[in-house]
Amino acid sequence: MQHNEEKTCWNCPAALLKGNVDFRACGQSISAIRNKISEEGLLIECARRPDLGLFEPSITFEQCPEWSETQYGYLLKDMRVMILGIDGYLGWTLALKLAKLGCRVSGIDNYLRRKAVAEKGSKSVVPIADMATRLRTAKERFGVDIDFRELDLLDRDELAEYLREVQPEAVVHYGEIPSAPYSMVDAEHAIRTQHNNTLGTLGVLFLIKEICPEANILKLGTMGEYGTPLTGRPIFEGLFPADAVLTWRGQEWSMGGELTPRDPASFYHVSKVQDTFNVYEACKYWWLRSYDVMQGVIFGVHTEEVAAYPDLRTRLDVDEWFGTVINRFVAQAVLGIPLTIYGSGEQIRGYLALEDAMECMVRLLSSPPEPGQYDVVNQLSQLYKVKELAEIVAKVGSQRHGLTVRIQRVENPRVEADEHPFLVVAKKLRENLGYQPKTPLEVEIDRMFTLLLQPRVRERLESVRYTVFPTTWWSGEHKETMTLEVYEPGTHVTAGYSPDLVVSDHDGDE
Amino acid sequence: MPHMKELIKQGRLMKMRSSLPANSAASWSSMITGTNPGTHGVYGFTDFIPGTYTVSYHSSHKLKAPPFWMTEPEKRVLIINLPAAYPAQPLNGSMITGFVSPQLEKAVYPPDLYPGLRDGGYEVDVDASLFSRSISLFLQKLEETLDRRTRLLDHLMEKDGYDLLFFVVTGTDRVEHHLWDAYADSTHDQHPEFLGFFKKVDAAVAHVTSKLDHDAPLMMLSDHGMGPVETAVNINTLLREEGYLVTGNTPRKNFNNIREETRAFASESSKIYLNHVDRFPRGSVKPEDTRKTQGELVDLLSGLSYNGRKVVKTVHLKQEVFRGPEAGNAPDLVVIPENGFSLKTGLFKESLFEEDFLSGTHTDDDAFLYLRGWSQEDELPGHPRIEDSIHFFRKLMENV
Amino acid sequence: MEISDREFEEKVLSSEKPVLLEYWASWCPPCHTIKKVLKKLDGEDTGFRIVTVNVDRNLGYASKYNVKGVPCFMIFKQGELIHREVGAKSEKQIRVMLTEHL
Repeated sequence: MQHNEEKTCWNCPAALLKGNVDFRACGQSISAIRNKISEEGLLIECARRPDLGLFEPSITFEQCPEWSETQYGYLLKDMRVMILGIDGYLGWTLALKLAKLGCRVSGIDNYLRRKAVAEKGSKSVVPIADMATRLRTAKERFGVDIDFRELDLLDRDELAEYLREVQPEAVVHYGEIPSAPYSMVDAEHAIRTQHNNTLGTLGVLFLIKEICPEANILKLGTMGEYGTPLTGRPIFEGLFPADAVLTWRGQEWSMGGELTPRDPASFYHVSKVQDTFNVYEACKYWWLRSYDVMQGVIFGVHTEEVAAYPDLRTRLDVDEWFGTVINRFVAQAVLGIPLTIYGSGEQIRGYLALEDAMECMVRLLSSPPEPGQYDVVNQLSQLYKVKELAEIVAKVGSQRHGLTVRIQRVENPRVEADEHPFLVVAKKLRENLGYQPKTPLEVEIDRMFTLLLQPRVRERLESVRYTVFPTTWWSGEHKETMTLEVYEPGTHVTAGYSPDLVVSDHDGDE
Repeated sequence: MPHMKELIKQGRLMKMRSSLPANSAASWSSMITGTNPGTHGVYGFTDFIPGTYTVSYHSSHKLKAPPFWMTEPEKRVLIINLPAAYPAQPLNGSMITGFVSPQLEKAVYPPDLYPGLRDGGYEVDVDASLFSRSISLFLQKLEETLDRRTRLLDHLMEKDGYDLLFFVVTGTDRVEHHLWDAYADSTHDQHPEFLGFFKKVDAAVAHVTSKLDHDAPLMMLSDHGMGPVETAVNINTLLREEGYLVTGNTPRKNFNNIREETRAFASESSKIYLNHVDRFPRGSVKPEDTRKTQGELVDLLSGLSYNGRKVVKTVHLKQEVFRGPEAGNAPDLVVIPENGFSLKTGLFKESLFEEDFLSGTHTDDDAFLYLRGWSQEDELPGHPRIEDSIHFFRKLMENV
Repeated sequence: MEISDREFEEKVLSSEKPVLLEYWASWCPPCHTIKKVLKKLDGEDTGFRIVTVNVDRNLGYASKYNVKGVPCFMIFKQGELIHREVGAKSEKQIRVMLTEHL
C-alpha cells in the first residue's frame, strides 16, 4: 500500500493540461465552455504517451505504466529532475540519490558556495572532488549519467536554453545562499544574499512558467521563516488549517488556507520569506505547482551514495557562516574547543539528518501537488534545544571516541529569543507521504566523529580552526564574542520551555 | 446525380465491405494504411487505456502503420476532411482533418493555414444538436460546410501544386443518420431537401473531379453503407440481464464501475471485451476460459430476436479476424447486426430494445468502391474489403 | 462525495435530502484545508448529503450558478438553491450553517 498509489493524472507532470483545461483564479467568471468531444468531461493528452489520444485524467499512479514502485512510493520512470545548486551540501547528495533511483538528473551551479566559504577563510573539512571528477566517478561507479552545466541562476537566457533542452518534470531549487550570519555581515552581504536568493527565484519562476509549467517545484524554504513566537502558538505547515479561527469583538473568522505569520531571524531568512511570496503568487497566477519545504537544521555526512567512494563525498562546512550547529559541535569537540552555546542555549529548533532530508525530498517528488496548488510542509525529524544537543555530542564524543569535551556559553551575537516555547505541526510528510525518520541522532553524530577523526580530515579541520568561533554580530559591531561560562557536560540542568512536535491527528481534528 | 452517373460509366463500380469493426475510425485507418486493425491498431474512436477501464479517444498518434502518403513522401498531397486524422501530423503537402477534431488549430497542417480557416469560419463538423432545433437549418449548415470545403480546395490548389488529391464528404453520413426516413418516404416534409443535398454533393464531385486531367486515376469510395433503423439494441443491457456484466457504484457512470464478477462488456457499438485477468485491473476471465466464454456469447447473440427477426448477422472472434502486432489489443468479439438494427453500448440502459433517435445506421457490407482507369478488368475481386482499396489505387497510379 | 456535472442533476437537484455542495479548486489553499472537515461530516448523520465539485473540471453548473470565488458553499433543498456562502470555514461554522438550514 503506497502513499501515492491513488494519485492520478491531475498530479502528474506528464499530463498536458494546458490547452485542455481552463483554470481560473479566484473571482474570475467562467467564459466559454469547451467540451466538444464527449460528455465525459475534461480530456487531456499525455506528454509521454501521445499514442494514447485524448482521455479523462483518471489513471492512477498504480495503473499507469509510466510510474514504477520504489521504496519511497511510486516514482515517475526516468523522471527528468533539474537541481539548481547541484554542487552543494544537499544538491550533490540528492543528485546521487535520484540518479540511483533511475531519475534523469541534470543541474546547474555557479560554485557560489565554494567561493563564499573560501571568503570566510574556510573550506569543506571533508575533502570533496571537483564537479568533473564527481560526475565521472558517479558514471564509473554507479553507471549513472548526471548532466551538469556551470550556470548562474540569474543568467536567465542561458538557463532558459538549458530548461528547454531538458524539459524537467521536477525542479529542485537549492540554489541560494543559505547562511544567516553571512547575510548579517554588512550591507554588501545582505544585499548580495537577497539579490541572489529572491531575485534568482523570481526569475526561475518566470522561466518555469514559460518552459515547463507542469513541473513539480520543490522550493527549499526554512523553518526559520516562522520565527519562535513567545505565546507558544502552533507553528502550522505554512497555511492555517480550517479550524484555526480568529476571534475579535465577539465574531469568528476561519483562517483556513491563509499564509501563517512569518517572523524571520536574519536578512537571509527574510529572503526565504520573500521567496515564499513569489512562489505563492506564481502558483496563483500561472497554476504552477510547488512544495515550499520548510526544512529544519540539517546535520550529518551520510547517505549510502556519498559514503560509497571518497570522490562522491558531499561537503561539510563547520565555519561560523556556513556550518550548522550539530556539525559545528562535532567539529569543536574534535578541535578541543568547548561547544559554543549562544546565550542560555534554550533555543529550540527542528533537526533532521542528511539521509532523512533526502528521503523527504524523494517522497515530495513522488507526489506532486495539484495544478495551481501551493503546498507547504514542515520538514524535520525532531525538536531539540541547543543545550541538549551539546550534551549529546559531548556524550558521544567522550564515551565513544575518548575525547574530552566541555561546553561553553557565549554572548549571543544573534538577535533572537534564547528561551521560548515551541509547538510545531509536521503532519504532511508522515501522514500523507509515508515518511518516518530513520537516522537516530546519536548514530549520525557517531559517524561524523569517525569521519572527522580520520587523519586527513582532522588535518583539514585544524587548518580552519579559527573560522569556527562565532564572530558575526547581528548588530554589525566588530567585537569579540565573550565567553560567559565553561562547564562540564551533565552539570547543567535544562530548564525553560519544552518542545512539542505534533505529527498526527490525535482525535481526528485538524 | 447526373455527374456521378456519367463518371460511373467511365469506370468500374462495385460493392465493398467496410472494416471490422465497421466504425469510421477503424474504417478510415484501414483505408489509408491498407491494413486491418490488427496491424494499424485502431479499433474505434474509443479504446481502453491498456491496464485500465479508462476510455481514451482516438488520435492520429494511435495509428501504428504508416498512411499511404508517408510511403511515397515525394508526392505532394492535399487532404481535406479526412476523419480520424486528428491531430494533423506533418506531411509533404497540406491536411485539414475531419471529424472528430476538438481544436481547429491542431486540425491543420501546415500551421500557417490556421488563421485563414479560423477567420473564414471553417468548421470541421456540423453541430449535431442543430438537428433538434431545426431540420432545415441543419441541412443548410451541411450544405454551407460542403461549400466551404470545396472553396478551400480551390484556394489551396491555386496557391500550390499537388500530385494527389484526397477529398472527403462527410455530410452524407450525417444526413443519412438523421434523415433516412426523409429519404425513404417520398411524402416526408424534408424529402425534397434531402435530395437537394445530394444534388449539391453531386455538384461537389463534379467540381473536385474537374481539377483532374480527364484520364487521371480516380478512386471514389465510402467507408460504410447506410440503411434504415428499425430499433436500437442495448447490448450491455443484454449482457447484464444474462449475468455477464456486473457493475458497482463509483461516482462517475463509466466503465470504471465494472466489478470483478463481470465476464464481458460491450463498447462503441460492436466491440465486446472479455474481462480478462491479464488485461483489466479487476479481470476475472482466465485465458483457458476464453473460447468457452466466446462460444457462450456467440450463442446468446445469435439467439437474439426482435419481432421474429434475427438481430445479429455474424459474431466475429478476435483470433479469427485480427492479425498483426496490434491484434493483442483487439476486442474479443465483434458483432455485426442484421440490417435495420443499430447496436448501442450504454452501460445503464433500462430496456433491451428502444427507439433510436437516429433514423439511419451503418451497414457493413455495401459500401461502394469506384475505380477509373483500371486496365486489368478481370483481376478485381468480387467483394473487396476497405483495406484493399489503397492497393487498387496504387495499381491505378502505376498504369499512368 | 466528489461528483461531476454529469451527476449534478441526480445527486443534487433531485436529491430528497437537503444538499450541502462545496465548489473547490486545486489552486485554492483554503479549499485544501476544508477537505478533511467535509469528509468527516460526510461520515456523520447531519441530515444533509454532502457533495464537492471541482470548479475547473465542471464548468456547466458553476457557470449557471455564477460561481466566482471558492470555496463556495451552497445549500440545495428540493432542487432549489436556498443559501450560498463563500470563504474558508471552520468545522464549527459549517455545522452552524447546516443547523440553520436543516
